[in-house]
Amino acid sequence: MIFNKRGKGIPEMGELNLAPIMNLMVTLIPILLLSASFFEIVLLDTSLPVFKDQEQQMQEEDQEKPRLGLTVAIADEGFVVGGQGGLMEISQGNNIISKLGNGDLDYTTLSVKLYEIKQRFPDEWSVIIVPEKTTPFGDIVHTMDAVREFVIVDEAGMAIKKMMFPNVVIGGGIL
Amino acid sequence: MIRRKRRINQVAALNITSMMDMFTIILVFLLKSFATSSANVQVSRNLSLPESSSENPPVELISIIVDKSNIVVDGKVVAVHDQGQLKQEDLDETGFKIVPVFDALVEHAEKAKYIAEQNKKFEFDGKILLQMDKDLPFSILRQVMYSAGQAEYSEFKFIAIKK
Repeated sequence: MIFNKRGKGIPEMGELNLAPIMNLMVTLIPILLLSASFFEIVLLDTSLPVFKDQEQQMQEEDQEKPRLGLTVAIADEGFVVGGQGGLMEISQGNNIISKLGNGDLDYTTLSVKLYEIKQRFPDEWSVIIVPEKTTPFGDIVHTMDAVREFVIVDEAGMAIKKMMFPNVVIGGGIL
Repeated sequence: MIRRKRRINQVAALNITSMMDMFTIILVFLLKSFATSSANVQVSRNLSLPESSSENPPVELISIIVDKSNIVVDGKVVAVHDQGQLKQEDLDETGFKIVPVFDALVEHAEKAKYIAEQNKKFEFDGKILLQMDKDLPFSILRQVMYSAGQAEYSEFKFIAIKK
């Protein structure tokens, strides 16, 4: 141990040779920078209605339970929510969710509306999305997000995601 | 006099501790972003992907890419389009099936089924990745999905960027 001149007993630190670590860093950082992805890729599952229908028919035969057949159409005036199975009354007039003032689709209201439906039919997981011919792909994906989960913000400010209709089928002329 | 000379000859030591601190932080950050990209999904440059709040991680599958001007099946350009409008000769008489896409996928499906026959661990499940530009209309998505469905690929995984 080396003591300093004044002899107060405090050991003097020798200089650490940081050059090899620096070399390591200088090589590692460009490698990681090249391979790093700064955005995260996610997947959204969907299937064709033909195959889904066969599956659902089989389920129906097993359970003999009427299905809701929830559909969300993306039309010019906004979203049109309906049920094919006759379980849900659709002639109430409030099944159209009009577009917002700036011409965007009203995803928040759609989410809220579907959450209400989910409360009434908690065993339903499927929804058919029927877009228009001209609906942009981005809007379809956004709609799929809106029907899949409902985000509730609790008192502590934490967002809780409630799963609603994760089995999305894209309809509209494919059948 | 002698003292002064010695001082001039001295080499100043650079204090690189703070730089080391910085590098360590950058290294940790980069390592973290490195770990998240598990499956290697190649994102095409000529398209802007939609954003989604989904949390499904990417998987490796055969992919269809519909960018701003081409339809690419498993790395090969099979058809071109203009704002979602396909050439008439690429479509069949119903106007739904894109023949080159269908042909390419049938070839892949046959290969996959052959592998599935030989190797019991491998299973043909008809799943397919779809990358598509967010501004393209539904009509081309419908044509692509119909073509893939005819080729026995019925489960689609849309690729999006996490919000």
